[in-house]
Amino acid sequence: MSTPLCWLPTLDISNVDVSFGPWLAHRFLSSFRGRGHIISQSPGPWPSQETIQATSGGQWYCRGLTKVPKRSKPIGITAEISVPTGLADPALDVLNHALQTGPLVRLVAIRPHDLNLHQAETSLRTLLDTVIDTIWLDQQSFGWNALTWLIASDPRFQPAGISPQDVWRLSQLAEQLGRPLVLRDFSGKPDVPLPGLHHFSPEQSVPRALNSLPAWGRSP
Amino acid sequence: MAVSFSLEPEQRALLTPVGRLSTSRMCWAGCAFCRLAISSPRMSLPDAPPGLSVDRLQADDIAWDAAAFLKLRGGLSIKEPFDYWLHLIRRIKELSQAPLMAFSPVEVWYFHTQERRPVRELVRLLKWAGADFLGSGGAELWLSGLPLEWAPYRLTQSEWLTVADAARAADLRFAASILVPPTGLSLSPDSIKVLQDVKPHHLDVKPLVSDGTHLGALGNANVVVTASSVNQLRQHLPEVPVYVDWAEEPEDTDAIFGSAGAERVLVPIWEVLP
Repeated sequence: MSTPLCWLPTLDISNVDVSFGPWLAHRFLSSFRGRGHIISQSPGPWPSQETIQATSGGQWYCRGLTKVPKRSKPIGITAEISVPTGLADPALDVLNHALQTGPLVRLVAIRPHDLNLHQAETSLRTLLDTVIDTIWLDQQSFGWNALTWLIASDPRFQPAGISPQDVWRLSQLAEQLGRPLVLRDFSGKPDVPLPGLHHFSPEQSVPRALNSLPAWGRSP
Repeated sequence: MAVSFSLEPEQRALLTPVGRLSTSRMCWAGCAFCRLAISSPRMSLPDAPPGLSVDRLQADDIAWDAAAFLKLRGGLSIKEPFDYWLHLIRRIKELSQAPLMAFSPVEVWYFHTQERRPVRELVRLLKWAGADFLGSGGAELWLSGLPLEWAPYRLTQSEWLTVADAARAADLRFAASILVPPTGLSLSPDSIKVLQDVKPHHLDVKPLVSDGTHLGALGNANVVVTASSVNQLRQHLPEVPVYVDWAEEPEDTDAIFGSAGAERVLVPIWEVLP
C-alpha cells in the first residue's frame, strides 16, 4: 500500500479573541464531523490540537525562539520554519531550539518568496535525510505548481494549509499518483478515506450535438 | 492511473513571454477545447465581422518589446482575404523583431479551400511576408489519440501533413501541437512515427485548460501530467525540442518542465483582439 496523501483541515485561532475562538473551532470541527486540527494560544477541549504557548504534557506549535520553562515541557513539538537557504539561516536556529526543547513530531515548511524550486527541493531533502521523515509543505507559500510537483516527486512530502475548496486538487493528484487520499488529524482516530473525483473519460465524453450550426447551441 | 517520470535535476526551461494577436474571435468550427472562439454561423465572407486591423497594431498599449515570441492566430469566420493578412504580418514585423508564428495549418487550409489557392503558394507567401514559423494547431487531437468529435471540422491527418510538407518545401519552420488531457498523454506508435517522419521544428505541448469550454467536466491538466507528457515525448523523440504552452500561473514552471526535458515554457503576457 502506497503512502496516503493527507488532508489535514487546520484552523489557526491563535490570533482570534478568546471569547470567539472556541466557538469558531467548534463550528470548524463540526464541518468535518468532529475531525480537524486546531492551533490555539492555550489548550482547549479539542481532540487534535497544538498550542502556540508550550504547555506541560501538550503539543507545542513552535514558530520562533520562544523560551520554554522546564515546567512547561511539551510532549511533542511541531516546528514551523521557512525553508533554510544555508547553514547560517535563522530557520535552523528555530529548528535546533525545537529539537532541544522536546521530541520533534512534525515539521511544517514555508517557502521564502525568493527561493527557487530547485534550491528549496535540495534543502527539504536534506532535512528529510537528517531531521525528520515527513515534511508538511505550506500551500500558500509554495504555490500549487511547486506543491504538486514536490509531492509527486517524493512521498515524504505532505500538503499543509489546504482549504476545503482546493481538496479537489489533492484528489486529482492522488489519482494521478495512484495514492489514497485521506482526511487525517492527530486525535488518534483512524484516517477517513476521501472519495475520488467523479471521473469523466475523454473517450466517453460527447461534447454536444454537432448536427447543426452554430455548433454550440444549447444541447437538448 | 499512476504518472511517472524520470527527471534531469537542475535543468531549466526558458520562460518565454508570448504576445498573442488574434485575427478574429468569431469562429464556426466549434472545437470543444478552444477558449478563444466566439461561435458564429458559417457565414459568407462579406457578412463576417471585421478582423484585426492594421491600425490596432499602432496602439500604445501593445508592449512589443516585452514579448520574445509572437503568435498570430484566430477564428475562422474571417472577413478579410489572405492577402490582407500578409500586409498585417509585414506590419507586425516592422513593429517587432521577435520571431513570429503566423497562422496554423488550420487557417492555411481554410484559406486554401475558401480562396481556392494552392497550399504551397499560401505558405510561400507567409514566408515572404516575414513569418518565422507556421503555427502548431491542427494536429492536437489525432496526435494525442483524443476523440476527433471534439473538433469535427479540424484538419485530418492528411490535410495537416499536406500543409507541413508545403512548409518544409517553402523552408518555413513549423511545429506540431499536442493536447494533454487531465488523464495524461498516451502517445500511439502511429503518432510517434508521424512525428519522426515529419520532423517538426518543435513540439508544442498544450495542457488542456477546460474552464469555460464544453469539456469543463474533464478538469485541467496540472503540472504533474504535463511534465509526465513532456518526459514521454522526450523519450520517444529526443531530437525534437519540446515547448510547453502554459496558460495558467507560470510560477516554477521553468524548473518543473525544464526538469522533465522541455526547452521553453511559453507564457502569454498580452493579447491583442480585434
